[in-house]
Amino acid sequence: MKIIVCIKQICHTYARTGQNPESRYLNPEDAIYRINPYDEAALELALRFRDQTGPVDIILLTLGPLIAESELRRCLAAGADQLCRIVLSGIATENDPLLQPDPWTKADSLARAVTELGGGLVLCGKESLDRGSGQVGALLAHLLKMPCVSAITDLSAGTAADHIRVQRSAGRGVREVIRCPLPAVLSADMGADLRLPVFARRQWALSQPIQNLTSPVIKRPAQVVTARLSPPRPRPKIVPVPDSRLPAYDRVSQLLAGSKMEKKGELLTGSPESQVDGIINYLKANGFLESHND
Amino acid sequence: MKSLLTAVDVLLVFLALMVMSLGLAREWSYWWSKKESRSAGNWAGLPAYILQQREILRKPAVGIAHLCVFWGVVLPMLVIIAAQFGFVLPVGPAHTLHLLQDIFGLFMLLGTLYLLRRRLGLSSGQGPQRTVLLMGILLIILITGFLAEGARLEILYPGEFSWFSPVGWVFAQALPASPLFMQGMIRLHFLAVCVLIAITPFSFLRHAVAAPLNVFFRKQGPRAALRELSLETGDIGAKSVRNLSWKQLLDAEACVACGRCEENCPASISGKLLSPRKVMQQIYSQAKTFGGAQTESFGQSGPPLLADAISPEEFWACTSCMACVAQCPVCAEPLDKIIDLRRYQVMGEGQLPVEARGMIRDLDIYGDVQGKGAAHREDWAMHRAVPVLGPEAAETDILLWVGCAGSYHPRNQQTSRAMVKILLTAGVRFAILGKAERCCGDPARRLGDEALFQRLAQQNIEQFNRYSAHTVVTLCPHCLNTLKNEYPALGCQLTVVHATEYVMGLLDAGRLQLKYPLAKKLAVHDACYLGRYNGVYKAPRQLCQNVPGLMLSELTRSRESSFCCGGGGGRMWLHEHGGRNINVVRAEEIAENHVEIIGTSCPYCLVMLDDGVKSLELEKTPVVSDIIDIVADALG
Ligand code: SF4
Ligand code: SF4
Repeated sequence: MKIIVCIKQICHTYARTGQNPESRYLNPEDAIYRINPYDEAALELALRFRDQTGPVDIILLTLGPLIAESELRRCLAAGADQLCRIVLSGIATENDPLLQPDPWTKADSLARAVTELGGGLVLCGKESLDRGSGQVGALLAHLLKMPCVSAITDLSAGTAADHIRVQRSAGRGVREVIRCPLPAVLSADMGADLRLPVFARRQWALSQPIQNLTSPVIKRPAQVVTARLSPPRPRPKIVPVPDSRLPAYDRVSQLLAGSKMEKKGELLTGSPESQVDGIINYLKANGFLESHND
Repeated sequence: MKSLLTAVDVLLVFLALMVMSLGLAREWSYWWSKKESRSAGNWAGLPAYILQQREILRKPAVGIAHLCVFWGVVLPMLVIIAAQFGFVLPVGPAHTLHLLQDIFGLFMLLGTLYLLRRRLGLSSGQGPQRTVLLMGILLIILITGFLAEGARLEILYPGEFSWFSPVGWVFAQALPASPLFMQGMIRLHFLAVCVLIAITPFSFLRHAVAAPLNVFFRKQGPRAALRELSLETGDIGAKSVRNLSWKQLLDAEACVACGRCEENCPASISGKLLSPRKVMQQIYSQAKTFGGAQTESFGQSGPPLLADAISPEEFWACTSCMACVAQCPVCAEPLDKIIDLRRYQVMGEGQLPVEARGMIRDLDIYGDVQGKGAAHREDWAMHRAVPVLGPEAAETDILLWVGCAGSYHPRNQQTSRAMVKILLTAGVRFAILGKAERCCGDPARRLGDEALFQRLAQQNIEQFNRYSAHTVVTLCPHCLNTLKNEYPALGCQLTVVHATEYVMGLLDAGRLQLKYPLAKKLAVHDACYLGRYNGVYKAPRQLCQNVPGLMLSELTRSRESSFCCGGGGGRMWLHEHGGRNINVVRAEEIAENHVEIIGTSCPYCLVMLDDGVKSLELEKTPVVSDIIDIVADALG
């Protein structure tokens, strides 16, 4: 049997340290390219399944440009046998604010690749960290006409050869064990940590070719379209508590001023002596005390 | 002194020497054959090591006993050898020498008895029983020697007190003036000496050759350096004894199983499974059994795994504190073997303790131990006058290396800011690498992921080269050790100093004034990577002494024999299984010493000790602070 694990390379935009709201406070150079952690968990489940049942081929399938190649190879080193990439052509990504095809198109390309590779079990993450639509797994199952179990946490061989046993968490601590016929599409929840590749496998993975699948892309019209994308709100600023001795009007205007008016203050640290010195200096500097020294 | 040797005796001595050298050659071929011919030894310090035995004297009672036995053997040997060459002294000095020999003999007798009693008193777990045979032979040599001497005195000077041989005289009182008896004793004495020489390679006496040899070949560069791996050739740590270097095998050969490493190992003391002595002994016995055998003779499975003899639970317990290396009387280093075991476990088997996986993954992707990402690396310096190295801050005196802890950990961020305050006050032109800085790689290296370490190191070295950095000041002793002692092997030579040393230099140069007093009792906790690894003991103490009012005291275990906080060697990220927590053991010691402040200079120590003292729930919890913070506060 062949297990196909779909892994997505994402641009992990974790740091909002930029100044520009247009770029959503992200600095392009801060981006981290990695594999969607949900997909890594799916790969780990596949590897565990193989450990348990014996020889199956595990094929990694990714979509789009190689933005995180070293991470792809790390996944290969962790135990997969083959790395395939669907070269996207003829898909306009410009209209999409996240510069990605919509889930429907992605699922379509993946489905045809899975058919081409002849996968008997397809695993993917339940959602991605960058877009988080959570649709691709389900759409893939739909297109392939396979059963689908979402957000699984464990995978093992079933009692019969054409079945597998899947565990998923049904929320509130409820665990659900599902008997699922093969072939099937499973999407994985986070939980299984991808194993550490050994050094020899890493070296091997570096020398492996990435197989490009360039089957012509049939452009399916997007079913849903992103109409607008709002940038995240800037980080909240701390509004100082209004000074209770002020008249109501001033207090309200202070609140309304919000973060614009920062409460000025200086925190003195150090030994009591140094703090006392600091206070005296402050009082002198602001004219509360007259210095007798000069 | 007339030569007593006949042709038969010469033959016997010759035979004994033959057996010894052939035996040594055979027993040691397994490591000798691996030795690169270039590896040169170092004579410096060797004579002092052999003659003064300061390393052994660190434990006074045993040390003195050992010294007595040593000189008790060596002095008569020298005299006898000299006598063979017709070397004759006038009567006066000859008698003095005789007296000396007699007294040494007595000391040696006492020493041997002490060591024997000690050995028999210990259970086999604590030390080797194989010294007993050696002690027995030594005792036979001693007693027959004194008996022969007594008989000789009785024949030559019957009834007289021989001042030059008081012990012999005592024996003489009970002995017949029989030449036959004397001859018999001399023969026995002589035979025992020959046996002693002959069994050297096969008995505990081996250490008399192996230990000086190990000292001769001891590592030159930085202390307790790890073995350099060449990953490209598939050298990924110690799977079996065959992957160890000849020097590591010689280490094991020289180990006398004295157990001093174990007595000072924080893991052993706190009740973990790990014993560095056992590590050395297991390597020794595996090397003995499999070191010389042909690889083919193991069949498919290859030579037995080292991890079968030394379990992962043992080698993951090591904090890489270097106490074992510092205390070893024969300069053996259990530490680099432990790390080699980890390396194979991680890079060969992919087995890293679960708790540390997230951290290693973060290091891999984000380049820092907390997984916050390089973009946030300079957050601690936000809105502060901290220049980042780049075109506009090209001319700097120093590059301040902040490190992961100083960049991300809220507690250590304070220390980074304190350091900035000090530098600004002193008018030092400095800069940080900012977002270009990555973890120095120490946690990855100590946890056995050498590949990751090398990658991180290369990234950093690139930055150093890009800005032609020359002097780097680090806040964390682990960064200090890595940058200073481990980057050179990757082709990066920098002057690296620790913050405490650098600030002390500023104080000495009069660029800082510490005015605000702090009337507290403080003790310095020596961080392993600052003290034992890099020998910085003075600067932290001097800094504290310069703070007005601060009373400096010492903890029970300090300086070279300081006790680890439990956070090094990647253990910061691992759970402690079995026994007590190392940081609590240290915290109790701190509590017993009744200090108000513990000054340390390592972010790990800070966190570990703080947790430790707080867990004791004392009435007055000692404050754990970084010495840099204390200094910055005293600036006002
Ligand atoms: S390694 Fe050194 S300290 Fe430890 S038992 Fe061996 S000789 Fe003694
Ligand atoms: S380095 Fe420290 S913890 Fe590790 S074995 Fe040596 S003494 Fe024990």
